[in-house]
Amino acid sequence: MSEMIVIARKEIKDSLNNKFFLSILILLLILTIVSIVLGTLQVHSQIAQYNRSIEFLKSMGKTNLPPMPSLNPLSVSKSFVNYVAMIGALLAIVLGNYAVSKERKNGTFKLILSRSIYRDQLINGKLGGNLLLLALINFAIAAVTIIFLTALGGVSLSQADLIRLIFFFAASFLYMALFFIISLFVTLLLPYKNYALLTVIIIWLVFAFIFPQIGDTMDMDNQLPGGFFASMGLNRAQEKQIVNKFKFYETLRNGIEELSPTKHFERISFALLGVKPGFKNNTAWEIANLKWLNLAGLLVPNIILSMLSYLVFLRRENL
Amino acid sequence: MKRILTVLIIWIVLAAGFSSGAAAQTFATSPIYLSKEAAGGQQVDYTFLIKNNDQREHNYSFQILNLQKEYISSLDYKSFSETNFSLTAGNSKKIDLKLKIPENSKADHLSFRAVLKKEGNITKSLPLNIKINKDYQLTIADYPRDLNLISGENQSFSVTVGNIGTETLKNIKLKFELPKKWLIENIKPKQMDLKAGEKGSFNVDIFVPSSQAAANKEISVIAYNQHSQTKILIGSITVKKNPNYFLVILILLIIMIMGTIYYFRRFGRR
Repeated sequence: MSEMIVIARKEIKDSLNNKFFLSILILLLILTIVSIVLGTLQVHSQIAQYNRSIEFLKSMGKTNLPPMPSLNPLSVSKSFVNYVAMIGALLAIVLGNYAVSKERKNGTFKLILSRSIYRDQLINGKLGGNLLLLALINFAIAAVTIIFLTALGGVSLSQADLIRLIFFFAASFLYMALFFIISLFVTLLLPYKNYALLTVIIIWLVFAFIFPQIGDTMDMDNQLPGGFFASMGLNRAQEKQIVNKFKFYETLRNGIEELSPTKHFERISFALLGVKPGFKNNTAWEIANLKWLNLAGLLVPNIILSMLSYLVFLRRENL
Repeated sequence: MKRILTVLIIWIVLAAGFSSGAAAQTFATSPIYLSKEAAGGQQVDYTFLIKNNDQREHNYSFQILNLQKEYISSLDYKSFSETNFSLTAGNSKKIDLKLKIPENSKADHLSFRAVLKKEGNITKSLPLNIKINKDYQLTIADYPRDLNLISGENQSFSVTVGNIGTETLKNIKLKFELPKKWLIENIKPKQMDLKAGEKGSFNVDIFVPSSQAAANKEISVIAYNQHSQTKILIGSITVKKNPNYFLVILILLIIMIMGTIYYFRRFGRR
């Protein structure tokens, strides 16, 4: 156990000395802070506008006052979903690649393994250290979000909102962890770090952009602006006939979308942040229960790829 | 079946304001006394057009008086019985009033007033009347309050309609307002006749497409015939993903973990 903690500590220290990783991290933090500040100011301005209207109506002697419009302070994190999908994933990919390639470059794999440490312990240490680092990054962004919302927006988050935000950042951690583990696995599998990095970038592009895009493009209702059915002037019966004929196509299209972890992350995040309508009255637990497939879509590949990383590293001779 | 019973446009033309003591306000209202008939469950729509023919801006207040709030479904797209606005010279404003006659409305007549105030003073007060016809009254007596649907599967539920009027209702049918790509596969029977006081059930087969993500949805059920119409919203529909996926994922995980343990045992820990 103590060996793993030593390795984990070293991983965090090494990553924080990696300029490439740091520059991506700083970019992610800046973008996140800018989006939170802009979102917070928008919430603040909506509250101020409502208060001004109420004052005006009161000054006119009105007693029948409109209720406070439903503001969703959590939606300030909406842009963060996109940043994590792109920059967060890249950050994790760099981290995973660096965790293996630095040992290869310095020849320290053999040196470490010449000591009384098992290969799976070494992998555990690397996983533990880097996953802790990713968790800390998400924790820091969560803290910044709450502080800015309270200080700048004048919004005090309810307990339910806080739990939703915690669940959202947990999903964001799982998403980043997935790309870290993919990168770690591929770099362990392939002998050269540049090939490995290129392969992971291709995997990321396919799963994060191409599959969701295929899903969207294949959607028959997206074929024409304003919706296929509406644009063609089809009535409900004709729409029903068409949808009936395309049941398999629809299942296939959905299957391709479900292969994308980015889609899973987006679906659960938008539900937790209240960006998608229909989840306003659900607790975070209820949303997690409802969106179990999306959670599984993030969690299960993490576990499977971790196992595969052990298997690949256990029998590898040319370290 | 017409959803909107009637659309009445009332022109309230505000002429130029008083100047030098001369009466400069004229009104053109057509017709001046409005009366209509509606059955329970139906919607009655009015549209008022208010024009400022004066040379300067005025503050207006439009109110519906002597009508219980539950009848007003919306006034000027809001749920208030009063709306305030200002109009600059020559400009006009359209105000929509939507009334919902409750299915089991006890009243036989509704008499109320649409009142327009300019700078706090009543400029126009228009009497409006609705006679509630209780001969033909259709109601949705029973429907699933909570519906759990699985995406990619056909499921059934039943909707019971009742005739609470005094006359026989013939050719009663059901229709639905559904989210995109959802399908009503079958409704049994297609239509039914109900004598006064009778109830009857429709069996509905619904299909939720596999692409439907897990979510909370709502659908509207409309029961109608040529005389009456009623609509309810099933607002608590939970769409879930097929639990068989969970089983497949669990089996995959167990195989993976068992495989890894076997590999370690077979080749030893290094």
